[in-house]
Amino acid sequence: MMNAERTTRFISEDNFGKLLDSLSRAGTVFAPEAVDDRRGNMNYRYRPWNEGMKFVHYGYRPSQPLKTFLFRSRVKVAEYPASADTVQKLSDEKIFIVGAAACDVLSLKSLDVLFLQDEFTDIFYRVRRENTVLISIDCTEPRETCFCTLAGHGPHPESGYDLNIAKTEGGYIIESGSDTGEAILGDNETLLSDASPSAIHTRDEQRRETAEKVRNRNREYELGGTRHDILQAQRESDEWYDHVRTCIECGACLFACPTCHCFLLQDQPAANEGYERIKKWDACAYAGYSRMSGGSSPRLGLMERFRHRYLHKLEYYPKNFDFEACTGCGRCIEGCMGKIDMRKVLKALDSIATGVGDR
Amino acid sequence: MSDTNPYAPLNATVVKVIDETPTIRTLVVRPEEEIPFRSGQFMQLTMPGLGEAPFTPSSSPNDIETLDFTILRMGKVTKALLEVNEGTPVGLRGPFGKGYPVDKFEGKEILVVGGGVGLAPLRSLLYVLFDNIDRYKRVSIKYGARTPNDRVYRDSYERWHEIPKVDFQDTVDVGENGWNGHVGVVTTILDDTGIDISNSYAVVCGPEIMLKFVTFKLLEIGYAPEQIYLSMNRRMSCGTGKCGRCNIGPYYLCKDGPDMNYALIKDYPNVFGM
Repeated sequence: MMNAERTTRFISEDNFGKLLDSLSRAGTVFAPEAVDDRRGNMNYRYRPWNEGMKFVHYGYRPSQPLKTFLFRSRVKVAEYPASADTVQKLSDEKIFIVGAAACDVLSLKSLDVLFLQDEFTDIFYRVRRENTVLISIDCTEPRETCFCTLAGHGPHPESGYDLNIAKTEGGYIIESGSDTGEAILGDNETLLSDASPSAIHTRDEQRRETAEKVRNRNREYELGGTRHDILQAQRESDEWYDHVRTCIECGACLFACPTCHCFLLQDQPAANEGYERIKKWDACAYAGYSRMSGGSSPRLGLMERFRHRYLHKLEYYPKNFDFEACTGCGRCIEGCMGKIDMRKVLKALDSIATGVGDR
Repeated sequence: MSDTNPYAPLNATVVKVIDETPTIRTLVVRPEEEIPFRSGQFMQLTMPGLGEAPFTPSSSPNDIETLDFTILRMGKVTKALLEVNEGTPVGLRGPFGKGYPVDKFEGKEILVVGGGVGLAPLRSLLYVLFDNIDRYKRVSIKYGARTPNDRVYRDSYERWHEIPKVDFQDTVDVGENGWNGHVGVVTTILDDTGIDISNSYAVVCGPEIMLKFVTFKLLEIGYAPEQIYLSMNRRMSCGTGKCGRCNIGPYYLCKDGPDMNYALIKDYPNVFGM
C-alpha cells in the first residue's frame, strides 16, 4: 500500500466541499458536526455528508472513535444452524471518514494488529477496514485533555491516512498518504492547485506550535521513564486504590477509547428460525466481564479491573506487539464522571518509582 | 489472512450421553466435518440459542470421528448441555489454543495431577501418552475428587494402572461407606511419588483452588516453575485472543494456553483468582 510517490497540493475550502461531494457519489462520506454538550463544550461527531454541505475544520478530534465504524458496537457475526455464509452478506459499501485526528489514525494500528494479523482474522473488521478511506486532519485546537505528545507522537498524522488536510489561509494543504489517496487526488485534479512554499511553511509552523502547546500543557505529567516500565514496576502499588475511589464502573473510558477492543459473543433466537450470534462491545471494568460460571473471577475487586486497563494498554500491548495501545486522545479523561485522569495516575505511579513528586 | 468466519459454529450432533457422576456427563459429539486437534486444545461448544462454553475434548486426538466433552454443571450453558439427548444438534468452533507440549515430554517422567472434572482434558493427553508410551519414562497419575461418586471415568483406572510405566492413584476429600482408598485432598498424595523430579514435568488440571495448592506443593517438593504446566481457565468468548477477557498478564489463555507454563505467568497479577 505504501508508495514513495506522495503528492502535496492546495485545495480551497469550497473545492474541498466539492471533493467530498464527489466522494459521496462513490460511497458514504462522514464528516464532523459540532454538538453542544450543554456543559459549555463543543463535541464533534460524524454525520453523513450530503452534497452541498459546508465542511468545517474544527481543529480537534471528534468524540466518536474510529472503531465505531470498523469494530461496531453490535454486529451479527453468525447464524446457525449454519447454512448461508454470513460473509457473503457483508456490506462492501465504501466509507470515507473525514476529520479523524492523529490519535485516531494511530489507534487503528492497535486494532489492525489484533483483528487482522492472526490465523483467525476477524472478517467483519477486515471488510469494513478494506472499504474505509481515511481523510485525517492536523489538529490546531488541542484541548486540556490532549496528551498525544506524552504518547510518543504529535497532533498531526505521520502515516496511516489516505489523505490528510492541514488548515491554511483560504483552504487546506492536502497530502496523500496511500495509493488510494493518490488516486483520489488524481481524479480530482481540477479542484487542486499548487501548494505555495509559504503555505507549506505556515503548515509546518502550525504543526510545531500545536505540538508545543500540547507539550507545554502536559509538562506536569511528563514521566521519568516509559509508561511500560513504570507500570511493570508499580503493578502492586497501593497507589491504585487512591485513584479508583471515584470510579463508578460505567465503562465510559473503555467505550470511548479508540483502542479498546473487548467484546462478547452473545447468542439469541433469530427473527425467523434458528439462532444468531451477536458480537458486542464489552468492558473490563464490569464485574461480569470475566466472571465465570460458579461466580469466581480473576479480577474480583474494582481496583484490579481498573488497573487492568492500564496494564493491558501500556504493559501487555508493548510486550505482545512492541507498541502502546494508548494514543493520548484524552477521551477517557473527557468521559470520566469520576474525574479520573490517566496522566495523573501515571504521574503518581512514576513519582513513587522515582521517589520525587508532590505526593 | 483467513477468509473464514472465526465466530460461526460448525454443525454437530450429540450421538451419545454418558453419565459420569451426579453432576457430570460426557457428551459424545459428531461434527459435520472432522475437526483435527491436538490434546489440550479446546473448542467452543454451542448450546443453540443459549451460547457457548469452552471445553477441551476428553477423547483422543487420534480418533476424531466423534469428540467427547465431559461437562460439569456450572452455569446456564452447561446446565442445558447436560439435559440434551442423543440426536440434539449443537455447534462447535475451534480448536483453539496451543495444546500440551507432548514433544517436550519425551524421555521424561510425567506427573499428571487431576482434580474433579479436571481429569477430562487430561484424559485426552493420557491417550496420547499411552499410544506412544515407549517415548516416555513414566506416567504417574494422581487424581482427587470430593467423594468416591464424584470421580469421573471410574471404569478406566484399573486399565490405566496396568499399562507398563503407568501408575494411577486416587483420593477423595470425603470418604463414604465402603471407601477403602485414600482420604485427603490431592496434595496429600504428592509427597512420595518416587518420581525423579529433576527429569519430570507436572501437568495439572482442576478447579482454581486446587491448581493453586498443587502448584505450591509441587514447588515445595522440588519442581521448578518451568516444569509445571497448569490448565488455566478464564471466562472465554472469542477463542482467538481478541475479546480480551481470558488474559493472565500479556498471555491470552485461549490463544497461548489454556495450558500454561507456570514460569511464564507466575509474576503477573491475579494468576489464581478467587
